[in-house]
Amino acid sequence: MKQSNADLDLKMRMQRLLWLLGYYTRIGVKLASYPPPKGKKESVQSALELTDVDVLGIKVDADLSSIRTLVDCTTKKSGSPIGRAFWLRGLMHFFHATRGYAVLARTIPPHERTIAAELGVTLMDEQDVHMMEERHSMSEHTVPPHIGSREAHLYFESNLSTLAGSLMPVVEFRQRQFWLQKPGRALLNTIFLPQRLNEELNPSQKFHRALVVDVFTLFCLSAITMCEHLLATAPRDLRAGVRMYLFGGAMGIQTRESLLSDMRELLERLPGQKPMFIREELTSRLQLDPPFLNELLERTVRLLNKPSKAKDILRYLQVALMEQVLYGGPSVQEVFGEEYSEVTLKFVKDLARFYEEAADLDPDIFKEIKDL
Amino acid sequence: MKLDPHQIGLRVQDIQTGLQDIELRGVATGLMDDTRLVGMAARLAIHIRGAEIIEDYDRLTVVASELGIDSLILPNVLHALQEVEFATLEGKPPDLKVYEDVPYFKDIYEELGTLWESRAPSELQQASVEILQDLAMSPTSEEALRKDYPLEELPWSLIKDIGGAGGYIKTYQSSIDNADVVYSPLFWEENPKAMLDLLKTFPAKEIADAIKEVQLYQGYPIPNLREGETSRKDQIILEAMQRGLLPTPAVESFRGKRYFAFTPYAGGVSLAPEEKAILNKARIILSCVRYGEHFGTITKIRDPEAILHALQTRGRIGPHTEIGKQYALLAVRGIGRIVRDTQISSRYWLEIIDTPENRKAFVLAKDILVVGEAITDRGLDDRARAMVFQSGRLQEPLTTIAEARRQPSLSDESICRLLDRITDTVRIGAL
Repeated sequence: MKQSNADLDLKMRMQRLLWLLGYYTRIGVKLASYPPPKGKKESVQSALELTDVDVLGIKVDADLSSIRTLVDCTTKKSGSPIGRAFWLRGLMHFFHATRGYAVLARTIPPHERTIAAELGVTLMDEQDVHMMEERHSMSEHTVPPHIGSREAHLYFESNLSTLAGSLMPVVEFRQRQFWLQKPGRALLNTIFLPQRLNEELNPSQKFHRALVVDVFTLFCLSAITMCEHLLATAPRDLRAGVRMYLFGGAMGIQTRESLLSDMRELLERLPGQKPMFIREELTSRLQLDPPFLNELLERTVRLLNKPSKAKDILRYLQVALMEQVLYGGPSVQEVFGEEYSEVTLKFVKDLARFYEEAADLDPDIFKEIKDL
Repeated sequence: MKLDPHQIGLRVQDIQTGLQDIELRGVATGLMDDTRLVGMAARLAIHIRGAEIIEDYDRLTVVASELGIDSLILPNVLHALQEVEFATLEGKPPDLKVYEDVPYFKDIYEELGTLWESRAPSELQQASVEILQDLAMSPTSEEALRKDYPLEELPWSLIKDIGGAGGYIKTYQSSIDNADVVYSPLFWEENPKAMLDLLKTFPAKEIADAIKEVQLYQGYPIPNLREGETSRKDQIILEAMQRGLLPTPAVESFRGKRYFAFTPYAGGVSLAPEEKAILNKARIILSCVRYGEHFGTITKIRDPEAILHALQTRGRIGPHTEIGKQYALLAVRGIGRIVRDTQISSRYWLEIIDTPENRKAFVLAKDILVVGEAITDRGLDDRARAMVFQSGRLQEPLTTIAEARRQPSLSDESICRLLDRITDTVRIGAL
């Protein structure tokens, strides 16, 4: 959707505010859906965009539970504030957000503010944004220079949109599919998708590295969401708990394993195939568990054991992407100051090492992460 | 080398645990270095797992000293951990930082066993590890052992002496007929006379084969002599049980009283009383499950691991008619409760009493069932581990700073042989 300069400025201000409030943020997350194929010969088309979220904020707590906040910004004068609040409430439901901010460039009647508040939406005009900035001492507290920066945002997104066509599936995934898919599937796809395209990714290209760091951040978001689920369900058998999460519960596992078993049987009975070939292919390929499952469990148990250190992983990665990868800017230690944790940084690096191996990526693709 | 890396890793840790407070001096200096180093790495690994980053090197030195790792050798131990990718080191002592990555889901003993092999350990060390593994299966006579390991006199004496000092190899000679038995107190209760008697009745190899059956199937159901002929192996197992060499809890249910044999190995050089209690509970748990597997009347347990898993995760199993009697022993020992089903009064539930000790017992029972011996947190010193994770400065004064180190005493035989060798070398040069 076309955005005006004024809209973008508002989004940047809200992104900086959310950063100050401890959120990891993303701009322009798309809500999309797949139309059905028109005929038997047509494959499923790309997801069609329905709307987008101006700013999505995710704040992870010390028990790895997360709060999501949506921000909608518009400088259009038309439409009622309360109508906007109801619309945002629907979007919040879809994105599992509990809080919303609707920022409007018009006067907001007090009674509409009250009703909106009942929906968990705060209606704000420009003055409200200004007061919020004052309240959180925006001028005194430093936000990293390129987070909530219009130039940096446009620099990043416009360069991603001009990447080679072969990488578009990854670009699309980070904007659309990731947010549509069930959590377990989304986690696996953050690994499988770059893995399939790993030969297209050139570590000497800055925006290839930036793209991978961004998708890796989504992987970390998925992993943290999985940990939230595991802490809530407290499975005694962690491996079983993770498998259930990744494959959609006990029924999901049973269905998939049954399918693979049938495929193995079918292949074994195929005439003309050499038995040794079949045996090797069957044992190495037709397995439900991905080869990186054990290592994923190792990473998961460490996040679960130190959740208060894991909670800031996403923010560290946002700094890594927007400051280090794009601009070679300040380190995470400089950005976070007294709140910097070496254990959090270790988690980031350990997860990057896991991701690099799982997705079979060139080690230099995480150059900046390794140098953090 | 006939052992697999996993077995090597376990035995190497056993040897180091035994030699923890021993200073090998004189002729024994350096003879067990690779084994001790890798053994130290194994022990340190399980104590620092989960720490993520260790910045306080002084604290780490204190923890290591509790595990018998001198501060001088600690850097080498840490480098060994780095070699197997269980840690990454940054800087140098005293500013050394350790980034820990000891796996939770990989076999750390296999990794460390492979490391030990890669160091091309001396023949003496290889023989020590293999002999210890053999003695795990069965005590034997010195004659039989020397036949299997045709070493020269000096290395043989050194293996015995060092093993004796470390408490993992012992020799007993009968004062009546001078018959001897070599055994490992790690694996067998201190009952050498009973071992000797068993060795007089059956050859050592047959004993080892029979014990291997028990090790591979812990909770081995002792055959009922009234139910027909028993195999040779079963006869040996019965004899060992009757002589008190194998722990054999008894379970009584609808098919009468049955005994289930376990190898005595406890997973450490010596267990504190509370650790022994947990191990006994683990054996009782597994015995009750084995009863259901072999002697269930209405239905038989097909997957004992699944039963243990269900008890661990759900905390209860049932309802079933046989539970009331079959698991009564667990109620007596405070491991579980038997609760009558509210729908069908002839059926019962087994509910586990959730205590840290019982939880550990279930983990051990699973280890014993699946692996054949205690693996999880093997050799873990809770106090030392607590020091790793303690926040703030370490205030507690070391009360054991000046603890005297025991030296192995060489037998007169060994000293004489060594002197002869030195003299020969002086006379005619090195051989």
